[in-house]
Amino acid sequence: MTSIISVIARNEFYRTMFNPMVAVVGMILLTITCLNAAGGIQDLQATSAIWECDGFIIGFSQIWYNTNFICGIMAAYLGVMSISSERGNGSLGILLTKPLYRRDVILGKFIGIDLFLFVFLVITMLANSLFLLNFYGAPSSVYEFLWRITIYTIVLLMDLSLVTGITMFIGIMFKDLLLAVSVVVTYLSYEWFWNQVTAILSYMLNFPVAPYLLTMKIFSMDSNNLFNSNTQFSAWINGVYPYLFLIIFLILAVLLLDCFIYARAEDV
Amino acid sequence: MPNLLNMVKKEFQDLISSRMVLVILLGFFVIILFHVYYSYTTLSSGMGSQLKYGSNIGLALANWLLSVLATYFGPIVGVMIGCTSIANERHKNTINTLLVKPLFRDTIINGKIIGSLMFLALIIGVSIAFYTSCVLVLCGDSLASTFYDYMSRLPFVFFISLILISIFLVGSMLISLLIKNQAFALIIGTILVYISNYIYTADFVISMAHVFPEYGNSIINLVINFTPTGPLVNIRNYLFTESISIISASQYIFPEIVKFLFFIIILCVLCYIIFIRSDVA
Repeated sequence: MTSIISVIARNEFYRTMFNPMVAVVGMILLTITCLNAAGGIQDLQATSAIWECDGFIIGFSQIWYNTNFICGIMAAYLGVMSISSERGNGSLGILLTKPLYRRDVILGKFIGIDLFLFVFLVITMLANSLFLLNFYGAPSSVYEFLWRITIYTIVLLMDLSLVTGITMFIGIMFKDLLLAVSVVVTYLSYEWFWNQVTAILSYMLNFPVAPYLLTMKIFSMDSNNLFNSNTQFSAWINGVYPYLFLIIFLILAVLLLDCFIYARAEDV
Repeated sequence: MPNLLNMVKKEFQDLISSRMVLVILLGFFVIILFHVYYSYTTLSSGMGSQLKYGSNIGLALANWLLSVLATYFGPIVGVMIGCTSIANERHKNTINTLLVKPLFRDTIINGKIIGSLMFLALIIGVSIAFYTSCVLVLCGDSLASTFYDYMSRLPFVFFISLILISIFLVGSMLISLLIKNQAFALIIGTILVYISNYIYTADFVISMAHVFPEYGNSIINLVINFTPTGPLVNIRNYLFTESISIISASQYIFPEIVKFLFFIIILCVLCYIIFIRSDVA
């Protein structure tokens, strides 16, 4: 079973890698990170002086919303297309005639997309670090920088995994490709909408069940902000561990739901 | 002319019966309900000052209506309508049938643009009516003293929303004509809405001004004047300020509306060129 899942995951990984969406999102992120590093040096210096903390790490907090949202669009598109486009061109039908369980298809696709998103996020973080290193200078403590950036990447990956799981569910539920993508766009609009009106965002943060709201809770725990180098790891984890458990639980729940629904679907 | 009217009618009917558009509209009405409920809880808890222009509830609610229609969700509705208009034909291969009929290609694209705009006008009209009904039911008491201010702004809200969302509608039609994969075109349209908002943020403007210090003011002016969000902020500042009469406000906002119209004309011309000159089938 493991080898079947790994074959499907590898196939999905390579298929995703050559999706034109990845190039578009990569270019946008590269522009944003470069602009942030090149143009935001004075702000970084001022903010680090006010907070009395490492400006290099704050440099990552300045782009987390854009990284999260743009990568979220990509994850949503990859998630919905993983099912809908294969169903549209008939390759899913051929795949299902092979001796494998339907849940293996879902798990393989999910793992493949997740692996790709992990590689993509690591490259984005490296690019941002290089730009900051070039324009701002080195971080005060390499150890502090490494653990924070690792956690940042993992949390972002969990957020994107949840988005992928949700949009795969949409892809399974809606047989028409364009209809499925429209539902995904509506869903993304909601994710975006929470952030546009501060009053509504603060209201909605009381019910952080959407991926974006959860991630925001995890990153910005008031004084125990992940991007503030004065925050200790123990203080940060104590504040956010319920949300970390919730996001992991939601990912598993959505994935199980995807497998359950797809295994019982009558057609491909 | 009869051909054009037939195309407009067909486009309108196609959009009304499209499930893609219905999905986004459902999402839109939920957002409107959410806004009205939030206004209601804010007003009933005595925190009316939290609303912008809090001293005049009518203006505050009209401002919220314009922000919902034109800033957050409206452009996405425009993208969806624009993409659906082209995608439906491509998806069902009916565009080939249309192209072999004795019709000029410009009649087809004219019909699509006019039909989509009429549908958009209907959606905005229904949204305004829905929002106003909800506001009257939930916040009628608070609104009573400033109801005239609210109603006098509604035609402006309708017209400005229509023009602004049309930019995204025609833009997404252009993207759909350029990109054959319609699902991808729809997502690219969504990303463009995000980018049009992103380039108006302080992060972008300040960063650009720091990167190109000698052109700092030029960049800020360019962003304020040549993105859909910039002129909209000016319009909202004039239209919903209590001390500025509605006639004076209309004089101030006229140049901003002309800017929006220029955007639409440029995008329409590009749509014509692509549709008439290239192989879209």
